[in-house]
Amino acid sequence: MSKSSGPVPAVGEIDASQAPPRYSEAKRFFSVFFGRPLPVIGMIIILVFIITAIFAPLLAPYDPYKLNLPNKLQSPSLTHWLGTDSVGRDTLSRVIYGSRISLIIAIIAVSISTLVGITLGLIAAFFGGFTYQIIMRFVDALMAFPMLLLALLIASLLGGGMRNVIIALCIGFIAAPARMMCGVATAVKQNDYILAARSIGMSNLRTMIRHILPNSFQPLLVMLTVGLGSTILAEAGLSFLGVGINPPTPAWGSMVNEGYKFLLTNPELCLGPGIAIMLVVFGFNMMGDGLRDALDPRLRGVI
Amino acid sequence: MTTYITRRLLLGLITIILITIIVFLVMRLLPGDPLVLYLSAGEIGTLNEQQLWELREKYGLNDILPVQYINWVGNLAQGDFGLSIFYDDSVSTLIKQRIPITLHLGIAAFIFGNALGIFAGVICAMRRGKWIDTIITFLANIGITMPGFLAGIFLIFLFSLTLGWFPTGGYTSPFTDFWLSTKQLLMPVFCMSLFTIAAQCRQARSSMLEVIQQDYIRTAWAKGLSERLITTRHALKNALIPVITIMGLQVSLIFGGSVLIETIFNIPGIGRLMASSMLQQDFMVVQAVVLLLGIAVVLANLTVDISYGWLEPRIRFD
Repeated sequence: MSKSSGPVPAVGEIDASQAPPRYSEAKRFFSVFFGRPLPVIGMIIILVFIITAIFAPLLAPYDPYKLNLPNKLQSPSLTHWLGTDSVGRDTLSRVIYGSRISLIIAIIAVSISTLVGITLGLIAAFFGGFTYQIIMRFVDALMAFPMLLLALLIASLLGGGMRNVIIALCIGFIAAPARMMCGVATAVKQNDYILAARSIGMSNLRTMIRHILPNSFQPLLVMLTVGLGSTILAEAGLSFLGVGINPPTPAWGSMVNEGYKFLLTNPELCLGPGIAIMLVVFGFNMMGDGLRDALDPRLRGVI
Repeated sequence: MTTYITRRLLLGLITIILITIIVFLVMRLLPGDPLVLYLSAGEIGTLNEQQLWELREKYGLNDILPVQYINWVGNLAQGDFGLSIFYDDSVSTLIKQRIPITLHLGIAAFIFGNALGIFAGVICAMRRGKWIDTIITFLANIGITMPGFLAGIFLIFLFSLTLGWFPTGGYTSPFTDFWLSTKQLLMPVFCMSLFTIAAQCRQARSSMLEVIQQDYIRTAWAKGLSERLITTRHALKNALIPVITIMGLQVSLIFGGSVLIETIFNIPGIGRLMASSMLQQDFMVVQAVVLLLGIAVVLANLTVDISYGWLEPRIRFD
């Protein structure tokens, strides 16, 4: 009260100095997100990764498929920064092109599995009862599986290749968004405005899309970020075991597998793509952590 | 408590049934002939429609799906997992030989990961803001994102090929040569438990920090108890509850990772059996391993749930 030295405001008039301080959500978000080093480092790694994937043909010094048998298994030098592989292809160029494969697969697989997952979660939460039990029990059983195992089973049955890897990863990743969406929707459903929306005759579909979906925006964003990282990792695991992207396509996982045989003589063949996988997964995880803390600290531990 | 345990057991049973349904549907509904379970792709290619139809009839693949499912589950329940095409042996024999190895590895990784993780987390919380906290928290942040199989490759490169301290892989039973067995297991167990160490460290740290702000901890200090007693008796006991909740998840990650880790370290467990069978298109084996690991994870979660109900009586009445 000591601050308001002016005349006492008339009844009904609002004194601006008495109001709570203006509170900008965006400002808070930026100050929390950029306030710590790890999320920023993560974001930089991901930006570099995406730029590399988009401009791969401009950045790569050589053709990633071009064989050069006389120059096979060269150690790193000024002409080949990461050396060459067992058939003389430039490893750096293959790592650069590999970012494209990782990014494309991750984006498609995560988009499809998230779309299917949140639809299932919404339906389960909205209709409740028997529908809920059927859908969520299946989601629980899917969650019980080590995610990689189911993807491995499907990929080995379908026999590798880009499309089949995407299918395998999609099925492996449906459970998490479904469970998240179901949780959010069950909580939002309790609100009076949902009752109001229904009482004015709003259709189920419209209620879900207009009222329940926007409320899940924050956890969804975090889940997408972390999901991209784990999809890239799972794809690398599939390719490493030989049921993912088939050679000669430059995928990081299969490059690690090919280079593994030469770990003693040409460690860069294996370590180059390996470090690329590690950095990208680290980037997505740290950025996800940062987003979660900046968007809603209460989500800590929930996703 | 009895109702709680019964309810959990029932839920666990339902989950196991659903897991068998999921695996069954994946095997039957994906494009491709389910005959690949019984014959190699090469053999199927040489047969004509009539012969294929007869073989499907022989293996009961022409029945409607529910009938096929019930027959299949009936065989599973009797321990009949079918025949491996590649090894020409029953899948259950193959798996029985390899299970002790995977269990040895997995249990070691589970105990090591949880013990080290919780210990590191408690130290961080007790020395919050000191240099040791900064270092361990930084390492935990790296550990939580470090893929286990890449860690394995980096470790082999550093400690086996460059320094020559450890063998690059292989497995020896601890009953034949305990010292060699431990030396061989050190790196794979570390890689398998890497995520557990990091995740439990972060979890233990944050829940310890929450607990030591409670009034009863201040009371314990005020009545002059030693730091050791307060940490172990009063704080840790309460801080462990969220840590135990995520132990079930750790089991799933450890067994899921065993396929990659066993392949890298050349350990003849069921993970590597699955990896090699995938490449040999020996789907009867792949299917059995996926089922077994899935069921093992459900059973582990069940154990965690039940011990959780015992530690935290409030949860029994939710």
